[in-house]
Amino acid sequence: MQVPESLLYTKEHEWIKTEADTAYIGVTDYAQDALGDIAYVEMPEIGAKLERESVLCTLESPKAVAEVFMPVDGVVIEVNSALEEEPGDINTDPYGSWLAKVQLSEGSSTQGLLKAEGYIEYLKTIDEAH
Amino acid sequence: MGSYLPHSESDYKQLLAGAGYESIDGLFSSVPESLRLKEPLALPNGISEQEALAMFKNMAAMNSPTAELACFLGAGTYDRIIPTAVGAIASRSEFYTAYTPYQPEISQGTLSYIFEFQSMAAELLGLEVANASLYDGPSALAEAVMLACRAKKRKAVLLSQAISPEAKRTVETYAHFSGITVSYMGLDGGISCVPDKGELGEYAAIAAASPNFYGIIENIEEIAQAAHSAGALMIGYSENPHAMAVLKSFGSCGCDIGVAEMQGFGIEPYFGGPHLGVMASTKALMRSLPGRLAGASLDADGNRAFILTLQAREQHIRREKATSNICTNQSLNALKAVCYMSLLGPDGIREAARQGMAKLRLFISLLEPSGITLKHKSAAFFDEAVLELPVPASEALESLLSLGFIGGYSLGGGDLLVCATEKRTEAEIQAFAKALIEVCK
Amino acid sequence: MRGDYSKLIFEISKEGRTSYSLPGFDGESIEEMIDASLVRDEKPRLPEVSERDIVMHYTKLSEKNYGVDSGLYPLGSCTMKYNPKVCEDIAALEGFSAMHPYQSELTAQGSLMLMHSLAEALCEITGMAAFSLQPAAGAHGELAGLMMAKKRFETIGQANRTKIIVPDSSHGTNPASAAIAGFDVISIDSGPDGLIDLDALQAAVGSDTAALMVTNPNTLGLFEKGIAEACEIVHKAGGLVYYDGANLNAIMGIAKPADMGVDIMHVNVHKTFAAPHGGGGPGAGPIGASEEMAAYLPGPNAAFKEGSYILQSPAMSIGQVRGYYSSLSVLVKAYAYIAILGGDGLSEASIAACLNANYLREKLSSAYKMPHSGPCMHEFAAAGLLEAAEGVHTDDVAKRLIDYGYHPPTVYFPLIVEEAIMVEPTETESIESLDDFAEAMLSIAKEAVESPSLLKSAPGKAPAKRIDSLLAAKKPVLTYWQLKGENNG
Repeated sequence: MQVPESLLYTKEHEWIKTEADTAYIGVTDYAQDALGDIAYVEMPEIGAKLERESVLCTLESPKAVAEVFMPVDGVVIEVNSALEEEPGDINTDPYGSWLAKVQLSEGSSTQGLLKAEGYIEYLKTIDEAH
Repeated sequence: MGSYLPHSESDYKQLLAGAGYESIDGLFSSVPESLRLKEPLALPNGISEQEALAMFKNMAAMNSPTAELACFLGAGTYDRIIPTAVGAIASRSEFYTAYTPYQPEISQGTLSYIFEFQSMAAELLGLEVANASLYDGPSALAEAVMLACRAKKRKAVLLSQAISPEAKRTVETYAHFSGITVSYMGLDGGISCVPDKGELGEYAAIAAASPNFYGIIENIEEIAQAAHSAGALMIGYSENPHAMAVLKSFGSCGCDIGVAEMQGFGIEPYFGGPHLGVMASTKALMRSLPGRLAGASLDADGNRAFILTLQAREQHIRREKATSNICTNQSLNALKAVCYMSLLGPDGIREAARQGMAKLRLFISLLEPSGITLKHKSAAFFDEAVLELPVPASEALESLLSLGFIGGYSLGGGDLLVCATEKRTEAEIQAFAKALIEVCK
Repeated sequence: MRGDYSKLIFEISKEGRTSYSLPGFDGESIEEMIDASLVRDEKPRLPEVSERDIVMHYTKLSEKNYGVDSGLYPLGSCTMKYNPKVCEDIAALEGFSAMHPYQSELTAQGSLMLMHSLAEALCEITGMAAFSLQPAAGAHGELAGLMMAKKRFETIGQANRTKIIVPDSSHGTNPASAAIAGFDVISIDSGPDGLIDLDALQAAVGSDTAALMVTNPNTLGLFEKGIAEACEIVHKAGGLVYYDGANLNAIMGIAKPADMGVDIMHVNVHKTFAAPHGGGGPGAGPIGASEEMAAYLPGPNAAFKEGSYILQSPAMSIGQVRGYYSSLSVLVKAYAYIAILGGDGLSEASIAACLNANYLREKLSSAYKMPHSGPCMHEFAAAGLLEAAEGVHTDDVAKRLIDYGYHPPTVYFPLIVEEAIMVEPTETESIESLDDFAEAMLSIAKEAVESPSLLKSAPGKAPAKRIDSLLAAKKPVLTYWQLKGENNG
């Protein structure tokens, strides 16, 4: 299970990569593995202003659906439209397949998000629970 | 008493022993004693198959079905000719004793005809996709209203008053509990008044019926333009979709959603149900559709095969966020409709539609000498229309019944909604015209 | 089953071929009757096929299907019992079928009497005070029932009760129905015994609780021992209890939902009362109410007044949830079934249903995980195989069962049981039938260890091999026109 060092994570299995006042958001390797083959991404609307922990978009596999939550407050400024044609890229390259690019809201913070190490620890606790 | 249990006395003993219990009571030990019934059910004793047949034949004989009375009543349910092969095919137990096709490898029969149904319904309504059926037209219209409100993130819809009372009441029930406001367009001469752009508020959709409840062909195209100009979706609705085979389809009139009640396509009226609802839409709304969808795919050998798809919309996966709560729908009635459409073909359905229209016009012409005329004289109508009687319509209906006719639907006062389908014979039409003139004297 | 035929009706269509037979009638042409601007440009592209070819086509398609008549159909939660043939004949009586819903009530006394009698029988079986036959299916009944709850709270000035509590083991229709009725859904975890956790329920109820939705026996096939206490907790908090009657087949003549404290419930007549499922409907989901809630039932319903049967809506009715009154052809079959079995017969059916399930459960427990202790009621949920080669899952067991000639059980439901296999044999299976099925299941369990490829590549003997659900979801093809790459609409 890959967990790149350079990203921040949530316990809901999103990753976020910040660049100045914007950020790319995607789902982790663990998330794609749990959901299985992704058939469709219901993309967010560009311009949507979303609060942390609200639903950013949904991912569908043939027999399951998963919601992706905002790790930060922000406005959607771009969506990865390549995924509309090839949603399976999320399975093969979860960290290269960003879902949305957001403009961070003023005062939005990445506080409370997990670093790679913390996320790996968290994944271990999930495994133990099973 | 009749029984469908296979167990003999010794089977019971063997089953109990195999299950590891000494008595039937032990088997039900998880049911608290306080809840266990102390008395047997107070229902009559069981009866034999022969007795049951007699009992139900007696009950059926208390009815006066359309087989005994000439039916000129439509109003959303139509007495049409049903080809014999429809029943023969639908009574194959491989079809009617199957469950929803969750295991596609052994359900290709069901899935194939659902796929055919979706194709035929989409074609008839002139839209890109259609679902595998909904309960009936009225509840399907309610589902369409909810779909529109979700898609447009608005909580109000504008309806034509000339939608059937069944459908209006059903939509109002659903809307009330979903927090959706329903308003109605004005009605002039039986035709919906196309709203001015300025009057249109934040509606998620406008819905209008064609033919409408009065049999009138509405200008759906114009209403659709008004809807779109206000950022709303257009829903076309029909309880008599034979009209779609001869008239411009909902899709070609600019509707985003087409909803139909397809009872007239090979399904018995059966005192109101089960009938057959369907919803068709543009491809853009495909993932918002309620209900089952069959899709084409490939099996492991690369052969074409069908499977329920886009299931992530549905209640068993998305639970409270599903596009609808529907699970069981009207599959076997969809099979009847598919058989009906195949047996009649495009020419047969158009001929059935034409005959109904022509027979109604013949009937109206026979009334001419009596002075009974159409209420909406300038409107284009299908196989159903409103007559203005010189006597209360409800009284006329009672008198007609005693003469052997189901004479239509009373709209109050002297207004009588009458319908002629292809099933009415020329002799019945002549006799009905004579009877109606007589009771109006 | 035979499976070599794979055409669609459109693919045997040929222009100019026809099979319709309508009486001749000259009259006017369409163009003479309505303005050309209203007329459809081209005739719809519907199939043009002879009657002989249509009958052949659908006969061949039917051979690719599996129904109750084909064999054991142990689909948990669906009660796929044998559907008596006489009920089909009864429902086909013209005196019932050829009835227009707007006919005068005087000409429909037989239909109305039947509706009224069935509602009374359902009251006796469940203990409820009144039934409306209007809902078209179980989920439709749930929706109507929750609307009734909402209307009641609106009426008594407690519209702030917006929450519906649903156990995590519930049918997906429960939360979906609650959402459509305008409620918020709170899910509570089941206890380790698979039953409602009364402490969790106590913690979840409050002044905003509208109702608890409960299935009993629950979806694990277990009787909710604490149901009466659960109802009391909810009632004390001012809420109502909705009972999903999907599993009524386990308790006819054994216990009545009304005695448990239930306020509203639906019955799936296409499960419990042997009306066939039709490949996904039509069904019927009558909705029952306590004395207090009866006034809110949907309508119109059949009533008996001054010597004749009439249609009437309850005083505070939520209104109509569909066109007209009921899915009567389905209800006729259900009432015929009830009449034939009688009170004793229904109890006997429930006893045998539970006996069959427990017998089968015991037989399978040597190879399949049984997460909860017995006895079960009319069905049981296994948590997959006790032992299997790497990568073998419940889905593989299900597909392999097809090769053994069976319809698989419900799989991956309820969601709270991992690798769930939910088996409901029903009472109409003989001991030999149960033994044969158990033998197949045990044989598959052995294969799962010794030759897993047999499972992974199954089914091999069905009309289709395993079908690609990802492809179907990724590139949806929903009509023949899309299949051919043509546009329509």
